[in-house]
Formats: sequence, C-alpha cells, structure tokens
Amino acid sequence: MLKNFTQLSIIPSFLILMSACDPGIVSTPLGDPATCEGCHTNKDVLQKLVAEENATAPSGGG
Amino acid sequence: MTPLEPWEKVLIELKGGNTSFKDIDQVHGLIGCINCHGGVEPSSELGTAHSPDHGFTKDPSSNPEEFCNPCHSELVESNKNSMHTMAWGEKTTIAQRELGAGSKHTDFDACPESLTSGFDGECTSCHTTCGQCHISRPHSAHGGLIDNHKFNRIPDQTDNCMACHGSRIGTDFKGELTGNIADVHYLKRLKCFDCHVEDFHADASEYESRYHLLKDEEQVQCDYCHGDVAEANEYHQQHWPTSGEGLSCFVCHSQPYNNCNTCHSGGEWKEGYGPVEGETNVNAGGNGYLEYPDFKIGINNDYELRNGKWAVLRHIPVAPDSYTKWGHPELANFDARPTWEVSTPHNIKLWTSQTDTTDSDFCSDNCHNHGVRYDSEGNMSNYTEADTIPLYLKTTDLIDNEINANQSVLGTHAKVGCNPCHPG
Repeated sequence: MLKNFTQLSIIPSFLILMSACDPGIVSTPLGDPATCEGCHTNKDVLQKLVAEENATAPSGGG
Repeated sequence: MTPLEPWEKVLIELKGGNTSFKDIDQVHGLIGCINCHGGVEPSSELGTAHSPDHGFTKDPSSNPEEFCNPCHSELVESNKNSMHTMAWGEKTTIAQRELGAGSKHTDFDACPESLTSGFDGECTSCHTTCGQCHISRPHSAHGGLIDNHKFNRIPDQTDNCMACHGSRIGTDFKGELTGNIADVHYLKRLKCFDCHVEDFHADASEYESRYHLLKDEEQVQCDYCHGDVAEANEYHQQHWPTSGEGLSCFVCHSQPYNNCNTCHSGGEWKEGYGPVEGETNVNAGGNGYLEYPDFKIGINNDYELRNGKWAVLRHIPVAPDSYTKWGHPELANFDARPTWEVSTPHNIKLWTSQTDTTDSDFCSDNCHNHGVRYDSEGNMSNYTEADTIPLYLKTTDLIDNEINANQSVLGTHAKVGCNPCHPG
C-alpha cells in the first residue's frame, strides 16, 4: 500500500517540478504584443513597431 | 546580398501547426527568449523590452561561454581559436606585410597598436559568432533570422557561407560574373560542405592559414574525385599537377574570376567600395559590389600546400595604404607577400577558353606561342606585345607600388618582357 502511494505521488510531484523548472515558462501567450513571442511572431505588429521606430528596430540576433 | 527589411530580420513566422517557437526548435525553444537575449518581458514599450540596461543583447552567442555552455562546451572551447573566430589567415598576412616575410600569425600582436586595434574593431566584427552561422545572416550581411530562429546544425550555403564569401566565391560559383556560367559542381547541386570537410570549429591557433590547418586526408583535392583522368588525354599527361610540377587544375578549367581592389577597411564593406586608380575592367556587380573580372596565370610558390608549378592568381584586397583609416598610413613591409595570390576559383567547367581549341591552328595556341598566329607560309604575323595571350600575369599588369611584391609569382617571360627576345 505504501509502495503504491509513493509511486502515485511521484507523478504529480514530477509534473510540478517540470513546470517550475521549465525555462520556457517565460513565454507568454501568443498575440500578446507585450511578450517576446507575441511581437516576434506577428508580422503586422513588427511592421507597425518598426515604422514607429523609424526603422531602428534591433536587427535579428546572432 | 540584399538586406532584409528590419521587421523581416526579426520575424519568427509560425506556419502550419506551429503555435510557438518551441514547435520550431524543440530544444532551444525550452530556454526562453530573455534567458539568452536579456531585456524585459513582458513590456509594453519597445525600448524597455530591448534595453541594454536590462542586459539585452541581440547576439548572445558573442559570449558563447555564458550562453552556449554547458551543452556545447567542447565546441565553445575549440572554436575560440578557430579560423573563423580568430581570422588567423588575415593576421598572418598583416603581420608579414608589417613585420616581414618570416612573420607568423602568432606575431600579429607585435604589430603597431593602430593595426591590432583596427583589426579588432573591424575585421573581427564578422569573424564570427555561433549565431552568425547557425541562426541568422552574419553581421556583414546586415543580419536577419534565416529559418525562424531555428538553430541550424548545418549553416545555409546562401544565407551564411555566401553572405561572407559572396563577392568572389559566391559570384564565381553561381556564374554571376558577366560572360560566365555556373561552376559545374554548383550545377550538379554540390554544397560547400561536400568539399569543405574540414573541422570549422577546430582550434587553429597553430596554423597560419586555413590551408595549413587541413591535414592531407581532410583537404579535398580535385583528384579525389577526378584522379582517374590523369592519363585521359595529352593535356593531362603533359600537365597533370604534382608537388611543384605541372599546372593546377584551375589553370585549364577555370573561367575568368572576380578580383578585389584594396582592402575594405574603414567601413567600406558596409558603405560600398570604390574603384582604385590604375585598375580596370570594373563592372557593377549584381548586388552592388564592384567586379574586377580577370584571369592570370603565375607561379605557385606554396607547392607544399597545393599541387602544380603554375596556378591562377587572384588580386587580393590590399594596398600599402589599406589601413590608413585605422591610423596606419603605410605597411612597413608591403613587398613581403604578393598581391596576386594563388587562388582556387569556384567556377570550374570542362571547356573553357583555355581548353577549347576549336578553330585553332595548333592544340597549344590558346596558352603557348605567346598568342602568335602563323600565316600559311609558316611565318609569324603581326607580333606585338599587345598580341600576347593575356593569360599570364606580367609586369605591365601591375600597379607601380606592387611590382616588387609580385616578383615571386611572375614567370620568367613575364618578368623580362618581349624586347630582349623580340627587339622592336
């Protein structure tokens, strides 16, 4: 009985640990222009921002 | 290479079932943007999101020890001293032209500070970071994501390799030079890495150029694939290249190739090049750079590295005052190296103006006899220097300030000129 309980408790613990340690958790929902992915996956937002910044947006990384 | 639009450079396009960068790169996508690039997330203001005050960097891989380790620690360690990172070959040439012919790449730091700081500020800016080969176009091509920020194990031939090696290699390989066609290997869809099998991340700190880095078994030679034609015809029997003998394959099978004028210091590689007084054959290249098509045969002095006594020579981008804009008005030992250096043009084809003898009187007419044509009586006709075959580099091809530097690559006839044997 104790053995089964231990095995069962490992699974949610593992899931919680994964969620907490997953660095990808910083990515927030798409379409939100306040996030990295929200802007950089949205052509219209990028074009608008670039136009507003007079084409001084940072170039594309390494 | 036409720069991407600013927004285009940073767009991660989600297609099909992709809903996140994690779907595009399932490994690196787990890291999270700000964990490499810094900045602020979320942020409603562009400047804050990309603020250097909050650690934003557009190229985290310029600091590979922090951002590419520990997963790629072996590559990071060796790549610190690789050819692409350190540009050892360029350091060798500058050291020799400043300190003397016997200098090596390791002597570069003994050059005057104007040269070393100029080099660090300009040349090393595109010699290069991990990301400029594996994520985006290099800085010298104005950057921009290649494949939606996916980390590509094998760099893209067009957007990476030819973005830097474009004005000569790319132009030659794709047959973009006026009058040329593409290299036969390009037409057969071979890629850069089919021949360039060397370890690009290898520690090259002991080697003065990339040719020295390659071990025999790694350096792909033409005869690895074409060795079976060494006796295939009289030309090959007469001229097949060995160490210090014969002709480099390129002498017969290259088309005219692109050459350079002076060095691109002082930001000219960003702002455009200008013709140099005394140089001719300047065309406007398809991508805004200038073309100097030419074809010159001369002596191969590096026969330990490349087979053949004779090779084709390319004018390389240097002049005595190349580094004036760095505060170094004249190289102290400019004559230490030729300005026409042995080259391997990537524009190979079987029938070139050298090998095609259609309508010639003799099989050797294209390359020998000084271009002299014989009349029906067997007499030479209309022989003047202007009639000589322009294939060979001659003193008269050289700008005054580079005559001394190129003595070692001039053939005997090219040095003495016509008059000693053909007065008047």
